[in-house]
Amino acid sequence: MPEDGTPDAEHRLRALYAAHYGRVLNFARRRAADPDAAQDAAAETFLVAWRRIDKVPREAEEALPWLYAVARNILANQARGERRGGRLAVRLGRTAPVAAAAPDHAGGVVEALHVRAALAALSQRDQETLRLIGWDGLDTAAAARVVGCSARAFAVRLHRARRRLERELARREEPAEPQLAGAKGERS
Amino acid sequence: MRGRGDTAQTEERVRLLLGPADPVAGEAAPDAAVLERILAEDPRARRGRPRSHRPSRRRWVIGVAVIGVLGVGGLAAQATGVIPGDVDWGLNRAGHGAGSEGMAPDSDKAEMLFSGTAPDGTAIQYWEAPNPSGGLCHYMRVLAPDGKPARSGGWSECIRGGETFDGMGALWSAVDTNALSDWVAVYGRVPQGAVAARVVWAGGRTEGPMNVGRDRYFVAFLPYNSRSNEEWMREYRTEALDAHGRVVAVVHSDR
Repeated sequence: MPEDGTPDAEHRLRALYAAHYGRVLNFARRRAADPDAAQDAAAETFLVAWRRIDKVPREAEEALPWLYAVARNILANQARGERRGGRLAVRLGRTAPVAAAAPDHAGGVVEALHVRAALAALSQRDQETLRLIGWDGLDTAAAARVVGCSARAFAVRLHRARRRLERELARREEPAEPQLAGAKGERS
Repeated sequence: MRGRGDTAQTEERVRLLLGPADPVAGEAAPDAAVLERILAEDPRARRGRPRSHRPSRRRWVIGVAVIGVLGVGGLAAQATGVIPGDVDWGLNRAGHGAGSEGMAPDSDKAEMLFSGTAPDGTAIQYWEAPNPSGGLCHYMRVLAPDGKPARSGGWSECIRGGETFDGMGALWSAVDTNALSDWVAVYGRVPQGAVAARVVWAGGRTEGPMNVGRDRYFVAFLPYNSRSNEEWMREYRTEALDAHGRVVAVVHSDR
């Protein structure tokens, strides 16, 4: 135990870390530029939680959205650093190799790529809205806390984003238009 | 009107659509070594004073924000070639280890780009040093009110060179909720021709205009407890203003 720490604070952080590190890391891996950046972001999220342990919600169902909100801010700072001058590398250092994401099962590879391509065609806001529910395991109320809006506003965003995703998926499944003779730019 | 049942159905539908396409599978086990480094890096200074209650949220009081003094402290150290030991440590903290090859900072060339002081006397200094990759290392140094390096706070980063982006002349900003415990530092740099900066969050909350100091940097401090963590995560835009108050450049946060 750190000599300046209180037993309760350290106990809380250890419990928080044990309960949520994996999900925070996965949250970062879905958004970061590379696995190293994701691991840095996850570690820094818990560093922020340690500094502000008194502000971390004690209710289990509220702690994870709080951590996700912190991770989002850290990832945004990383992205700013990348735009300013190159790839952001180590913030807190690493002590273990980063595990690669598990490969898709053969049968679902094409479908997974299809869905991800459709998702990538949407706006950043739609993507984030759908990720929070579809991949990060949150419900509307928790996701609203992560992005900082009301649950009702998030529900509307989710409904619209879902419709746009389905529209994009359907568009990609339509057969391509046959080429017409005398296409634009050609001389007959 | 959309009811809870509709929302639940939408949630389920989204999970069905996206679930199989999740690029991440499984859940990594907590890295015990990282946790120990976190606990060792930021010892808590709350000995013997356990909180008996959770503090209530305060109302938003933008007037409490104080434009940080964009000081020139540190120039003396640079002039004599003596970089403070903790600055050297901070710049190096992110420039070593696996994946950091070529990013160890040249601390002899370190310089402090800007500094600012919060209302309680806590100060930040933003230090920069080049690294062999052609990139930069940064250290956000935190000083306690007595002027000594704080025992907690701040951050370090190293960026690999080779990118074509040229930050000179461009507008950039950060809403930094990580460097300090009790304050959120808002800082950045405006392009040539601008004399002030303003930050506008989604929802309309505004900070500024903040006058810029030496070399066109600006910094301000807002009480961390003045809004919820979720509110701090909101999208925002930064506007650079000329002497007539006209917006000459805008940059949007990526949230």
